[in-house]
Amino acid sequence: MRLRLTMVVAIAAALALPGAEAGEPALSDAWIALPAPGVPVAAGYLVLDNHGVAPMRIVGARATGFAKAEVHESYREGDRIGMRPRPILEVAPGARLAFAPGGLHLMLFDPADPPAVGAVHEVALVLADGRTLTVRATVRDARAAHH
Amino acid sequence: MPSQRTLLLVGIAAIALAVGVLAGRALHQPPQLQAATLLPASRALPELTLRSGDAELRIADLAGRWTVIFLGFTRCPDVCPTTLALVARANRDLADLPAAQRPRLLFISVDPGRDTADQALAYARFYDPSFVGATTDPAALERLAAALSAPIAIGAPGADGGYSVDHPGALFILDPAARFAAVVSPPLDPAALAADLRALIGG
Repeated sequence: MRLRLTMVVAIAAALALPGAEAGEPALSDAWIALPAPGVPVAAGYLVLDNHGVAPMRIVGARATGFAKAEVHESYREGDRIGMRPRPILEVAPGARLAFAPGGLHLMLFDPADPPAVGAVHEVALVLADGRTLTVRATVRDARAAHH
Repeated sequence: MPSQRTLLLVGIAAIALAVGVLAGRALHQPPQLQAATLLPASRALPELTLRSGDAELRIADLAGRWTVIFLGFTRCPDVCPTTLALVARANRDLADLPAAQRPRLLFISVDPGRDTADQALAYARFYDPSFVGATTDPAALERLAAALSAPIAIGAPGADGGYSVDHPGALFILDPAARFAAVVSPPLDPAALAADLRALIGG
């Protein structure tokens, strides 16, 4: 009886992990950096785990409350900084891809309303195979993050 | 043959000279820096006038305090917000210094086509109320970029009119004479930056 209960709890816990069932890709830790007032772009960040056995190709992005979203990557070459669009982003099977400040990020254009700390936007990554992955991203004030 | 007294006086003079030289060296020793690189010699910047809000700001007006210049633009989604937040963090580490001694962050927009002087100022202040933001015209920006050896490039506009801007990730440090004195290259570490600024200020 206890063993069965333990098994049920273990299976329930495994199913609760993002995307662990059926090897589906999973999005987690999604957040949007609060932009300065009046600035019409914001950066979104998240973690993507490809639990599947095939590579994933991200070909687009969307976010509720913003007119447009694109995948971009900040890079550094010596002392110069640039940003390039990543219209196609491949994620190998079993790989984890982190979108984080200074690297990959979602560029979110033209918010319908001024973004507010705590507000939740649904972010979607569009895959080449037609699937869409979604995750809820919360607006955070990144100014206070560096303590 | 010099007398003993003469030898003694020469000896004392030699010791005094040695002590003086060593003391002088100790006083003028460059500070130990973790993140910033001092230029071999500080460089004067061109006489430029920036616009910050509705005020004019000349490079000469920056004299009296150490200034940290960051070049960016307000539509920069990732690097500029991240950098300014890191500098704000370093700035908070220096809160114990008297206000007049604290370094001043000056954000200069390299995208005057889209950023107004008011927007640049509001943008800088968002990251820290003490930060200053400014713009200037493209010709002045070119002169400033050349003086700082800073690579800036405005990208070609896309179909929707948007364009990207390449700018340095470095921080350019001006001494209290408003001369370009040091560079802090990315990646930025707020604790190291604060320690270096403190060492430069001598506080």
